[in-house]
Amino acid sequence: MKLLTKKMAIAVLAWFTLFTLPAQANDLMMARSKLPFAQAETQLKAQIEAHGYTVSSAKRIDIDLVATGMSKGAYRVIQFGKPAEIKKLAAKFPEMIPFLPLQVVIFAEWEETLFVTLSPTFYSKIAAQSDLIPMYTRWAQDLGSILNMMREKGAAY
Amino acid sequence: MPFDKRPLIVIFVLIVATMMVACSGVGSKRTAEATEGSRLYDLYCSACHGDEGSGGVGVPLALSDFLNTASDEYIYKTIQLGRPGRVMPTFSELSHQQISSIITHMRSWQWRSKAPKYSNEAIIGNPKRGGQLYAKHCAYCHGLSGEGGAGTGVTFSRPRSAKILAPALNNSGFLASASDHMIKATLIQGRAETPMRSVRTMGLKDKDINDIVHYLRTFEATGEAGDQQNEPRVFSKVSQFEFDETLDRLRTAIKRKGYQIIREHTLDAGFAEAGTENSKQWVIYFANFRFINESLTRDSRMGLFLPGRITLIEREGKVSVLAVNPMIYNQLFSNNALIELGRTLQHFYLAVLGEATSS
Repeated sequence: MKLLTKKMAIAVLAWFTLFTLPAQANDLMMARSKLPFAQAETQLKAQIEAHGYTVSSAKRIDIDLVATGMSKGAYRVIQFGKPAEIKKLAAKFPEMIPFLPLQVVIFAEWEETLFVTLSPTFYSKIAAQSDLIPMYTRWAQDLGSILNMMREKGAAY
Repeated sequence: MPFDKRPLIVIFVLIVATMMVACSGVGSKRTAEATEGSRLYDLYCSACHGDEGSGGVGVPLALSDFLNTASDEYIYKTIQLGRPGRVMPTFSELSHQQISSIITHMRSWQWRSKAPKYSNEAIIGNPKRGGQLYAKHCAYCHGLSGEGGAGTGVTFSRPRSAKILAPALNNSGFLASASDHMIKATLIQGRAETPMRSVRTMGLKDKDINDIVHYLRTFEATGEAGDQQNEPRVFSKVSQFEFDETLDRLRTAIKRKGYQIIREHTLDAGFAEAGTENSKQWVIYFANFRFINESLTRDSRMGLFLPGRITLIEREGKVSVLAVNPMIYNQLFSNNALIELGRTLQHFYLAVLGEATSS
């Protein structure tokens, strides 16, 4: 009983933490860095890995977008995750599969670089089971930390 | 008897010291607020509006004409209410103190003037005449119904040389944030560095401006498209065929609709060691030039859902096909320019899923 109460308290605390983390308005997390695109991409991958995640792919999708003003080759989708988490989520919560693995979109805006990712508050609307809350909370903290690092590295650039 | 000045000097020194301490307190409080405002601005605003308010995904905020005509109340309400459907989200989670700190930080970009203050009294004019003047002088940029420039101002949806698209004057967030007197001041001042010039240069007099302001209040406020709120986030269809046959039907359906399959792999590709991947969780990525181009032009953040993707899984003997419902795009990005695209893609996804899973 005590253990159950403790678990519930942790879940409530984690839920509260998840929804009070900064910069998570409206299901998106965004950041801007003064790093040029190429350096930003390299740094982003390094930061993702430094936080214990595996980068599974870096997709190019900027097919012939130069006419719209975008720099050639300056748009990527970085996919990443923790293999065990992705496997478990996909097995237990198929409704989450279309959103897996985690992604950060990175693109150049003039000389700066922007980062956009789905906030874990969005995932919590897809699969809201209480045992997932600690994971969402950790994701939110890690994504917040990664984006913050990108901002800081840009400021120091 | 000589007058002893020492007590007066002591009192004077004490008064001066007290004032200095009090002033430094106010100063340090302001400094602390500006520092906190700078931190909050970096966190919540800079991604769209630029580190120094120079704009980008969002409009430039550091334009002197903007800061000289926008009241603190207008900025405060804009942060709270956003511009529904025009990308700027609501920041209802920010406290009064946090929003005030952000405004204090924004005011640090303003060198000369103080924040303007306006009466909240309505300006009464002749709205019918205002409508005629609006059609003649304003509608070209702001749209006949105040719907604003085409697109949303998001980076790729406007010429790279243009700092701003004409704002939507019929947006519920704008109408609730701007007082009549602020709108009037903006019309008179114009916005240097943008196409918005002073209406005085167009020969409009005070009465004409009042008529236009009154007319703007007749716009029907628009914002979020409410009918999409209950859309499912994910489409899931159980197939009546085996896994491999469903996969073949999926590929055929995608190609038949004019899309190109870009790549296919297991969901755990890049995670699992080669040879140990789960081949019963299969992801197909597809696109065509128009699809990608239109998506990114409407909102540069759409890469989160590009290229198109459908996932095929087999679980407990059941084969299912899954895809994100494109009608969530406009809600997620608060961008009504994505509604039509979402609707088109929704038809596409439902047709492909239908063709793949049943005869």
